[in-house]
Amino acid sequence: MSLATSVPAADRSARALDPRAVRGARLALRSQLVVWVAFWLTLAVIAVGIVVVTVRVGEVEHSAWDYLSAGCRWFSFAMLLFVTAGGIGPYVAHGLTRRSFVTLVALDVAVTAAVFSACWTLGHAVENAVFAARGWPTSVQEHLYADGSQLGLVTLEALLAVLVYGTSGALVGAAFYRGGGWWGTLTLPLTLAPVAVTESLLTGRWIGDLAQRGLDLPLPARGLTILLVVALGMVVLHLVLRRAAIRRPAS
Amino acid sequence: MSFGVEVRDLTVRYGRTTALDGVDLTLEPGRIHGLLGRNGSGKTSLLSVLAAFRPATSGTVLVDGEDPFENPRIMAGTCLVRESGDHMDDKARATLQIAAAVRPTWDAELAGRLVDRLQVPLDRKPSQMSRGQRSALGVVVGLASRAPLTMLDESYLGLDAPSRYAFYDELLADYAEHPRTIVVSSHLIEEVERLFEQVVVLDHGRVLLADDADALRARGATLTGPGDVVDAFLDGRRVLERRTLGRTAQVTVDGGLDDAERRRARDAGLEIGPVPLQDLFVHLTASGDRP
Amino acid sequence: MFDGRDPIYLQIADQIRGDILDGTLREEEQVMSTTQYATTFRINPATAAKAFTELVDEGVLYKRRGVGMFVSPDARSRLVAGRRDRFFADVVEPVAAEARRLGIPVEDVVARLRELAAEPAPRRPDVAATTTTSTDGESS
Repeated sequence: MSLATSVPAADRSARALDPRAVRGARLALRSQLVVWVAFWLTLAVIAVGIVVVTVRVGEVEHSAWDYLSAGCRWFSFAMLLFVTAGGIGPYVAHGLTRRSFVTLVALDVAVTAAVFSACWTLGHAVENAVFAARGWPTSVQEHLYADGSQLGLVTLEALLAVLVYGTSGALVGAAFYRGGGWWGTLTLPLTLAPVAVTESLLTGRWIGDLAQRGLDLPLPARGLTILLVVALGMVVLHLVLRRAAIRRPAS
Repeated sequence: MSFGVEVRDLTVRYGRTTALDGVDLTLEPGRIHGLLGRNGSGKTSLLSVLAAFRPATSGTVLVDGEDPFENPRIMAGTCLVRESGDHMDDKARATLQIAAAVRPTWDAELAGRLVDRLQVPLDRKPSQMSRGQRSALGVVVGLASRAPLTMLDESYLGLDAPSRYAFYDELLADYAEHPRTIVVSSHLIEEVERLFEQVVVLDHGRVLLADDADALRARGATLTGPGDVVDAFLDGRRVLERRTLGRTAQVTVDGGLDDAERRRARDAGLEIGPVPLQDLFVHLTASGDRP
Repeated sequence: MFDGRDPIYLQIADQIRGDILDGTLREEEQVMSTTQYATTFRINPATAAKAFTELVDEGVLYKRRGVGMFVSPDARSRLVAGRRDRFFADVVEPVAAEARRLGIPVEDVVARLRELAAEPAPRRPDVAATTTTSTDGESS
């Protein structure tokens, strides 16, 4: 291959994340931050509420923070759904490409996973300290870990889960954006598939028998499979949005 | 910097609907073009393809010599403002900040002046704005982006009259200082026709006319006088409209008259009048009247 | 401001000619720029430029690079000469034809012309509009 043909290709991939896109994304991320802070504060308040109520009615036998694990996952799902379905139109209207939008969505998923898994681990750490002082157990069910004190596994599971839920949310948003209500709904089994596969590999929720077999695999194999699912999801996201027409916003 | 546009045999279909049907078109760079057509004539579809908002079903589209679809350089230099507005549902201030960050040619001073003149409420989201305010936000983004290809798709029609005139003034003043290719689409022509240097008329997804604005203004004529005299003069000309009042007839014909014809008409006792662009447009695109 | 049958650029050119003929625009004086014309009358700058091109071709205006358009030193005499050539064909002949059609004797026409020639010339009413650059007072 001659130099003349290879240079534009390299140039093009560099442009997918040109400084204009990054500057725009930073501004968009800033407005996301407010929502994130509000969400994690709310989650903390709920956790405290659970503890208070449990103490009133009976004894604390289980991690309270763990009850909120689904909330953390589905919230990242919802955020990415709205970012994708609501963002692509204004983004292209500002003169940026769909390709760079997909790249930024992937980055957003990664940043969300990093921040959310850190917050999730922090929650468990705080709970561990408080519960230890009172002699309450911090055990959990249906997780990679059996107890909130296994912080490494807590972080790993949250990281993988948010990566997948975020990817799935982006896929659902993209399917509804591209295909409208009917296609968006009909493709839900596909767009939600990453979540199903991952939960069966991580926690055994969703699909009973398959899950049991999935849980038998060694952890590194499961982790790699999940990362592959995320990568595949991003490729599909690119294919769905690649030639998407920008809709007229309803007003 | 200005982007020119070349369109060859462009077709756009949505399911079974054909929005554009074999459009051929050249927009010269650095001019203000009027894109005229009735509602549903394909104006928005054409502009959407030029702005890479949607792919073409078939045909060739070149903006500044390149296919605009997913082309970072062309898309960065192309700004289409649609009537509905394509803004995030965030405060207008945030939309303008993002536009300033991503548009290489953004002019913050112009944006500030337009926000004042058109009274854009910076602390409101598009969903909280009136139609006029949303239009105004679109106009600010469209003009201050100063894109080499700027397209305003009826976006200014939601403005009230004083704001519309402010918009025309700012458009002309900024265009004179920073010439670029500007396309203004409209179905209301009288108010904007003098802004145009060139005019394209779309009808049923095809290009009906594309010419110099002055040439189009000189294209038609009305002949008024006794019915039989008018008829004798018509001589195979294409009649766009005919009205009669008693013995007097007024006929609008397609095609200008040269000096000799004018003299002949006047000597025959006919009165010759101009056909405003708006009327020519209405006659040519009236339903069932296709060339 | 600009209406009627003629293209706007012809109307602009006519207006500038008129301003030069009646002395509103003097020789060597700068004319409004195309930008000023465009924004004052809400027309495309190219339309104004077309009028200038025509006047430059006629030798009525000339261009100073980077400065703008100016009235030629002999603009007025050129215009006067041109108009004199056309005066009888464009103005007198239609008057004679109309007078004949209406049965007005030639003597009456001549008498009226003598009366008018004795009166002081009226100022053109639209002079102010062509020399100010303000956008006020311009409706549609």
